[in-house]
Amino acid sequence: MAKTGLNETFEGLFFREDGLMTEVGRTPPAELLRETRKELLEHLKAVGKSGDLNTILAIERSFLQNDLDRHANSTAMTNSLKAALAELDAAEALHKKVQDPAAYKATDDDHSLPRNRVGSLPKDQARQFFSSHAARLLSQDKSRLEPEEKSLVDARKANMRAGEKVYAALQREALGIEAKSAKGRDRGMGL
Amino acid sequence: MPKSYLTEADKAGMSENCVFLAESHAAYKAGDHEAEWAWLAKAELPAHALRAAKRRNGADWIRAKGLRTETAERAYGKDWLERDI
Repeated sequence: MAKTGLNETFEGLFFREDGLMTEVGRTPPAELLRETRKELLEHLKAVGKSGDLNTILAIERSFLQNDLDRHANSTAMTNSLKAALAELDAAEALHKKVQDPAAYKATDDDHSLPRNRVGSLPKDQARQFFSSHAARLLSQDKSRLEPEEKSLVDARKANMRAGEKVYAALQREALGIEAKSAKGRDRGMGL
Repeated sequence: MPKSYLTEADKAGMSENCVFLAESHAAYKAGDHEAEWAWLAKAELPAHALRAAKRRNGADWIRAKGLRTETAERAYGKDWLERDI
């Protein structure tokens, strides 16, 4: 196969990029970083299992804010993180509201059309946050990240699923809908 | 040793393999492509990078470059250049 100068240049650069990434991964700080991320992952999973929606949302806010403050390096990334934080604000406000059935009645009324329901429950801004944010995290999973970072993204996505389940239970409670009657119809975001 | 473009200070704190890669980079920046590849041939390159280059350029190209291939041999078997992988 005939090679052009351009290909040779790329081949050399590819080798050095791959080789240097491996070298960076072998340094003590890189090893410590992997260990730290594993610890973070364990704690993140525990938060998801706890079913404590306040903490699930607060931890997700920390990840988003940290990404925005330290890692946002393109307009698209900044805008995506700002949108996620704004949706998270709305979800937190609704989490307070849904615990007061009288206050949540208005939200229920505002989502009366079938297309604004998930099963028997309002597809309110909190439900929209859980599903759109899980989709946002799924697209991060497709990007070029270290395995430990991917695991963290996976756990955050799982926490969004866990958070949605807790929230749906609160919705049913606020609206006086039996969990059994909603089962099967309220399938959540299915991600 | 291929022609060096780095000072001792440049190489301070680097592993041996990192020095090979850094020398290759410096040679490339200097337009000395012979030294660029000679330094790369001294470096331990990741198996997946070697496999990708073989897929793009063929086994003979890898051999002609004189690259070290022990990482690929460990990952894919001694005969990795002879097989379709």
